[in-house]
Amino acid sequence: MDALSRDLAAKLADRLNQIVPTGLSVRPENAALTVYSGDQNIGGSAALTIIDNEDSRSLEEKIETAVTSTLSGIQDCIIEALTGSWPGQSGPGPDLPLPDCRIVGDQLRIWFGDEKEPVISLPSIGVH
Amino acid sequence: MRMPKILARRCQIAVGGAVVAMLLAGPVVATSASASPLSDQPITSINVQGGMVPEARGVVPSLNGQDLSPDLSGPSCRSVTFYGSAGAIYVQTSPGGYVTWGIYMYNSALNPGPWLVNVMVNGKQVDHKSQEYAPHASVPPKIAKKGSYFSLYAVHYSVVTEIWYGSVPNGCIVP
Repeated sequence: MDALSRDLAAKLADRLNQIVPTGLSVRPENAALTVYSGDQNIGGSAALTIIDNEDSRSLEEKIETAVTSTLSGIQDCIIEALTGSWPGQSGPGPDLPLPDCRIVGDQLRIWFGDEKEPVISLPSIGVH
Repeated sequence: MRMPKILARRCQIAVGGAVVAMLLAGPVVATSASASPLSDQPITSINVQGGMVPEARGVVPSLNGQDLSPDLSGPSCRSVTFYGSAGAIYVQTSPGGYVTWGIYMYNSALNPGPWLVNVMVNGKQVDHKSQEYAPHASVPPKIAKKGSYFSLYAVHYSVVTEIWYGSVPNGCIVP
């Protein structure tokens, strides 16, 4: 099971590195994602380990919960590093676009903002 | 309009600092009222047991084996502090439904060192932190739904005292 969380961490890092601000990067470390500013670790999330838990939730539910928590943690780190909103434009205005995801078929869809009108969408990830 | 997460984060830390100062300055009181920076309306900040306590030297607390049964009789997560003898857990819920939390030792010199935290909603783990500094984060309303039971299990090793600390069972109801 932990192979799935590690694989998901690697694929999420790949997707996030396409959109994080210049100077920041996201690195997979086992089932965790860590945000770096240059070479400095500025935080991250180990929420993908939830996928490895054995409880009454379905695998799909655990993946969606873990990925949402991970993205929320990554967003927190980047916002703190920028001292401004991310993703999207900084400053007062519309709501902060929140991360969300949903498994449709065998694909994990990921976006920030409203599902129908996302501020940004990441390339889907195959989960089965 | 939902408050941006960064503002909620800053408010949580500021409120946490104020509560720590109050705890260090005098006896713990059952409840204290304070104006919430997360809302235009004053709210009551509640202090209850459930923060960080030291383990006996050489004893390593575990996140496993915790009672995962949600206790639906807890206080509101609107603004609550779970205090222990060594550190406290701060929880607030923004008007938009984000549950923000932070765990800090009263003596900030004891914060450095490994922290492991399991974030639970209704007895199910929804987040995990593994880091070398005092943890804080937020849980989206999609995950911490209104009426759900929110709790944190934390262990921490202070590189200063060279002993482990663990959280006392805690939990609150998401408003």
